[in-house]
Amino acid sequence: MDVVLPDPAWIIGKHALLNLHVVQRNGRTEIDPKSWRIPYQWQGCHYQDHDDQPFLLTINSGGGFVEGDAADLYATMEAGTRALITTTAASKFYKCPQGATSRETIRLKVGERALLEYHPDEAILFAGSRVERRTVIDLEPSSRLFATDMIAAGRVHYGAGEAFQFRALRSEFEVRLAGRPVVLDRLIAEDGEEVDALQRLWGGASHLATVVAVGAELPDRIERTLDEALATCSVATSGASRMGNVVVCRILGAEAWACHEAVFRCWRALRPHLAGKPARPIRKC
Amino acid sequence: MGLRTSNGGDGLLALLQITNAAFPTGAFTHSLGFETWISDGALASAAQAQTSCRDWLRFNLATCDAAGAALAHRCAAMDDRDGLIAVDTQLGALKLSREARQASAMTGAALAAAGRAVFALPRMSEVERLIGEGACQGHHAMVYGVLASELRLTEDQCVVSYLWSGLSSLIGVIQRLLPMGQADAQRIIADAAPLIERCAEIARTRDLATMATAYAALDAASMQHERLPTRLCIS
Repeated sequence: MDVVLPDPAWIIGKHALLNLHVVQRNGRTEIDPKSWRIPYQWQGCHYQDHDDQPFLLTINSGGGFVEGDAADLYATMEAGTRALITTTAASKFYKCPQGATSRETIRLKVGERALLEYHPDEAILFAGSRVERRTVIDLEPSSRLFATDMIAAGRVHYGAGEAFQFRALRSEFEVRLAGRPVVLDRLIAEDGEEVDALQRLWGGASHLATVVAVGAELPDRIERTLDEALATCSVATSGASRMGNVVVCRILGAEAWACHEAVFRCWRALRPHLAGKPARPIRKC
Repeated sequence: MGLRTSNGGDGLLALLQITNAAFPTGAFTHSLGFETWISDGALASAAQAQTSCRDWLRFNLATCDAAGAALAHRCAAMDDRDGLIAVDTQLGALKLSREARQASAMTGAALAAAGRAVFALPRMSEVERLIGEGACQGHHAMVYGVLASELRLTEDQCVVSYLWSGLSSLIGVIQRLLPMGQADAQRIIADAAPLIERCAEIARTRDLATMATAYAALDAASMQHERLPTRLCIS
């Protein structure tokens, strides 16, 4: 695997880096940290399903992205492995009064017959923040994937509410299959007009969640099952669509908890087909 | 009959022809998800239609498809086959619902076929070959950019006409679904002229790395459209 090394120009404590190698060993999947740099911390992983699949909770001890902070996570999963990667808490992007941009980059490579479940908490865009987020997941033809991405437009319950008061956002969530992009959810809102418009473009919701699942094992009409599972959630609107072996769900809601519940319902419908076991609430503490 | 004799070689006439609703692309059968909103009552008036269509024009079409048309126009002018495939791949990946993706590919294939049949342009046959070989899906914006280049239209003409015809087509579809008068519909299109100019500037300054869409609620509506019990439009 390629290990990405830190640039000597990176300020210690301002630029987190974590390189992971996911391998088959001892009859199970194990995750080796090839290198890490604060504020990413390495505290190992654990097996919440009591089987061969590790759950990794990434820990960024910075507590959030102060102006100009960056975090890069790279993982390479070898053939036949399976792992779940999540976060300990939401990624909080704080105000950037000096005009610098905070950046989060996630790059995950999933080998043949490997399964990745990537299920991070939401990114919260505080008032005045400038944010670039980029998640790229590379799959092989026989890889399987359940991945989520969620953006909160701000601290909706802070004071009188501060949704859609961030300065700029570039957000990319890309899934590639054999090197070709098959899903590219790219949102760019870099001036007042574009940020303000999001309130209409999200149908009045302040949270946007996207679920992507990829797998040859997904049954016919799974998108109907997902639609039915989402129909009774407390979200503003949602939808599910299937294109070949790729399923995409869009979820828009006023509350983070409602979007989390909707995403969990998607996982509950999809996980038995992708991982051969039921979804379960992930223990984070 | 080749380009030199088509429309007497007059670019304006060619432009009028390819943006005419009668040009056989099938665009008039696609609501792109708007039929869901009309069906559930979320979109019920000409004023709401105007707001939603202008948002779609500015935050989806300009930043994604029209940008793709501009890039394809440039690639065609430079005979950049790989560039065209990259634009097409990006256009497809950015469409998150099956119907949006299929609508774009269906109308693109129809435009390529019509471009070949009507104007006898060899490049349109090449585009059809790329689609047939599976090298690309043939999304409408990519094919439109190539056709405009082959018809010797400028990049600006390509992008402005793409935006205008996209809006005009969508308004035409909505007009069939909503109680909205013909004059109201045409007024929405006429009033959009300054916005179309701005959108053309935005589209022409985007590249592959900045093509984007923002109308997430429309994505969900397009997904829901797949399972609408009664519908008139394909998408």
